[in-house]
Amino acid sequence: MLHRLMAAVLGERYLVYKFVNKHRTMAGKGEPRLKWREIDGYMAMLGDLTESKIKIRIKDGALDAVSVSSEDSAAPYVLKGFTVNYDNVLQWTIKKLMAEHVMEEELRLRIVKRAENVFGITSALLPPRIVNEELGDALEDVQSRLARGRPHYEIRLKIWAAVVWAVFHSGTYLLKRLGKAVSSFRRTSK
Amino acid sequence: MEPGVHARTAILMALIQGKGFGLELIDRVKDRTKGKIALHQGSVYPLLRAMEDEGLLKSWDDEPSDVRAGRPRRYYELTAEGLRAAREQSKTLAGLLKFAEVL
Repeated sequence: MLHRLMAAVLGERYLVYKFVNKHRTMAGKGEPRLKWREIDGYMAMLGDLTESKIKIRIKDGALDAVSVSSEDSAAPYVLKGFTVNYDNVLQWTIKKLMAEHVMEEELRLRIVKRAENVFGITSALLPPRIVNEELGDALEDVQSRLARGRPHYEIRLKIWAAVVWAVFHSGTYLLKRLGKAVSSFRRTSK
Repeated sequence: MEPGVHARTAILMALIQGKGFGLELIDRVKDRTKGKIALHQGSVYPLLRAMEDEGLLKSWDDEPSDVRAGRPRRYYELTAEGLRAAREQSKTLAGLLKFAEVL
């Protein structure tokens, strides 16, 4: 009932919102709300297209070029096989959102993989206590920062900072252990 | 020394709430102080190990997890001595705050 009422009041914009919200797992948590302006922009573009203010060019099934005309009489430049309608504009929107999401996801996985590799190499040289605790926490922190959408430079910095601290802490940890071993050896030899 | 408060005190206060691992303790202190006290990874881990050596904390490894590429979390908990020290610190801080309120 509420959906029908909302659709009647808000029209196609509500349907787009509902559609994207339904597929929010593709777009990421909270994404539909963030992308609302963009969808709104596409809907406005649809209005301009129908009013012949925008010229578009489609190449290989994707939007290739867009130009805006101030002349109301200018006809939209639409390539063969493409019809300007609600479904097509919706498709661009969803495709664009999905492509962005896939790119973000790939980048996220690449950064996590790189962190795992860097930590993996470092792990071979450091004591397991430090590796499990500090590098494990750092990897968890990297994933949480990526999920929160923190800038990638900050995450890369975090990875290298974790390695530097782990190496430094390993040195002090081993020296402390050595000191303890030496003092207990001295005690037993007396 | 962390800005404004001794890191040792912050860790003791964070562990009064219950067990926690390094990253969690850093976040706990940050959340509880609304970001005003930020513990750094450079100082937290050696301090946790030192406090464990002093008998204030005990630690153990949790189950290995995929998020950490198979590495387990290292959890810390206050020992009886640690709890005593935490309560003492808490009273000292409360006393300081009362003094500030009078002013």
